[in-house]
Amino acid sequence: MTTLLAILVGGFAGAVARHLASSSLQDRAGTRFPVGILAVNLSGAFVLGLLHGLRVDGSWPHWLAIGVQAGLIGAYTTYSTWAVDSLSLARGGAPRAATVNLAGSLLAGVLLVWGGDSLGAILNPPAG
Amino acid sequence: MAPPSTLRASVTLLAVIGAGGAIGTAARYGTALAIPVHLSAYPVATFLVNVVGAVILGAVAALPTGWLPAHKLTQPAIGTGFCGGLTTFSTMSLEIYERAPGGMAVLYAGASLLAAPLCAWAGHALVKIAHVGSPDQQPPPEQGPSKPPEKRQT
Repeated sequence: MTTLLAILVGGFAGAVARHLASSSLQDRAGTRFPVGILAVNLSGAFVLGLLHGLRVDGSWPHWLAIGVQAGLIGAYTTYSTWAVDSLSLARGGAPRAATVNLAGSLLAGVLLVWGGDSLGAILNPPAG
Repeated sequence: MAPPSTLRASVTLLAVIGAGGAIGTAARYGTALAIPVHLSAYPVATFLVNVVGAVILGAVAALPTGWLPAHKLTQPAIGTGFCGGLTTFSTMSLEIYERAPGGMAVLYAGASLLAAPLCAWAGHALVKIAHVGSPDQQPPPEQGPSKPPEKRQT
């Protein structure tokens, strides 16, 4: 029950944060390339990697670890908008930008998880 | 300072996006509980919610603004809120990282990469096949939020 509540609160906050961050970044960028969602997705991937490296699954209360990782960070980042934006780029005559957005985002996302995980592992006090 | 009416509209929009996001996130978490995935196996649950969310958002994005019945906030609630909360980029990236290096990481990354535009296109195509929003069948979008769309031929 507590976990479900944490999921709902995290999901609410993550979706609102995504909308605010991506729209304000996109408005300022002055480009068709979806830099707002890109920044949101990559920052979320880094934070999730960092939490993974910090081993929060074992040290935080279960509801908090789930609420923050699956709830907040999961809802903050998005696959669907990434997919639809890429299709829009391709349909709008920018297939190269669409390919960069797809492959580049995914590659950068995995690398940032790795970076976050490595940093978290350094910061994490050794168990025992 | 924004005038009160603009501020109220912004707060309402955020509340609607948040509510959709909470429901979508709960659906994603429920799927993850229903389909437990071993650390080395294909992440079926995340892949499933991601492709479903991409199809739905592809369809929602193909609808003309204001077409969805009931209320103009239905589109951001379903699109930015529900689909955004249902799908996730960060968990997908972590799952690829956890399986790397290896065939499963490549398979999952490749499938997610290909499925993204294909599912968005499938949602888009579904709306076009249904002829939603063709000029002769669609109510004008600027007729107020509470006016229901005309009954289309069934």
